[in-house]
Amino acid sequence: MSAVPTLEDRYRRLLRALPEPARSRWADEMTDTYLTATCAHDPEFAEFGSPDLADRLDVWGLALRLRLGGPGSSARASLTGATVRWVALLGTLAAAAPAALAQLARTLDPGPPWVTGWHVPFNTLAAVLAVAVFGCLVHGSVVARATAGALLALHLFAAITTSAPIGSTVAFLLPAAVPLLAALAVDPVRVDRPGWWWAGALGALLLVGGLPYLSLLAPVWLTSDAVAAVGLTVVGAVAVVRTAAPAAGAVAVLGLLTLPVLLLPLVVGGGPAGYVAVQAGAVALLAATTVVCAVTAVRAVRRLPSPRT
Amino acid sequence: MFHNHALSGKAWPDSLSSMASLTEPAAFVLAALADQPLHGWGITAEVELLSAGQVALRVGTLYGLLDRLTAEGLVEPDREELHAGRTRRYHRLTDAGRRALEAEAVRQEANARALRARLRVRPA
Repeated sequence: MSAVPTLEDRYRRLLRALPEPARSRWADEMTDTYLTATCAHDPEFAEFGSPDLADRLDVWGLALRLRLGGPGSSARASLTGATVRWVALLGTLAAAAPAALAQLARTLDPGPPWVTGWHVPFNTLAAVLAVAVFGCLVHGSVVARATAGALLALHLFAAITTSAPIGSTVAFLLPAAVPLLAALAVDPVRVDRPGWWWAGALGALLLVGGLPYLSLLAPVWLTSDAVAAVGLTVVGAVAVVRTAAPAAGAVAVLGLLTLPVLLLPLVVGGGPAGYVAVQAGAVALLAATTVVCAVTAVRAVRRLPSPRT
Repeated sequence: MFHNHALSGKAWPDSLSSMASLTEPAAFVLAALADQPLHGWGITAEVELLSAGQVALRVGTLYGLLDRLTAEGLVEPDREELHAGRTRRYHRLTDAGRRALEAEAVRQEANARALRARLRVRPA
């Protein structure tokens, strides 16, 4: 007959969610604190009680913070946290630049009067929020999570209400949603050089606006997705050359998320030969960037000491 | 890249710790440790008493906070004791922690004075 688990066993099982070295450091004492707190007025609770939902959420929250480089976490967790920050920053930058440019173009040329409907204010709101999330992340604002949450809700609403096939909806939702989830996961911390990030944003705007314009002069089918592939390759190349592992890791993640968007038109088929060629070229470029950046990031992680040592 | 001392593994300089304003739970944890070293449950109980039940620290939050305050040099380990077969770690306030708490008290007193001064102004 196996022994019935006590409250202590249940707390210890819950605390297994904590990563090392924090688990070894705190699990014993946290168990003692939990038991003292919960059994002070009800000793029988030690026999049959169980951690409540608030305790579970609290421990999972601590486990997430420790896995993302919070104080007391391992060197690997610090690198993971920095990578998640880069995913949030680069991903929101990649979303904010085309959205801002589209709004700018619409302000300069509102288009024909019949271009109306709920998607017009929706797109404006999404663009404003995208720029706001990026700004909040760069400056470490306390409202970063709130703005990221609002934009994520907007994307989810759009994904739920669309009539597009589920495959393409998911393919387009993931590169938008994952950076916002990353923004929700990390604590808002101001970057070292905000000016550089705003300069990068300006560069992204010029890239997004400039490359398709050039393609009009020398007819090449440069889609916004192909421009995104070029942008990620530029950032990835700089990250690999400077062995900046978090940035390389983030480019690898964003590359993986963007590849399905680029592959989708090729899978569906059709379109002029020039368009297919550019799209296929962008897929090859982004796939190569993703692999090189992933290898750089994984090597950097392996060089760090294991949390258990 | 980021202003995250955890990434570089460095503690904040003393002057910076004492200048930065503390969150409410952090201020109460430092206050709980002001007169004696305490273990986790001792801190939780003392904070609840000091705040008249207004601040109820959850255990995960407390240990995350202790890690942060230790990394910032405001709190340090004191001693370990065994209790019912489990380790109890005691934590104590450092000199930097005492200065940070003093600075926070001064800041809150100044805020309170400013608010009372506004209340004394009668509308015309």
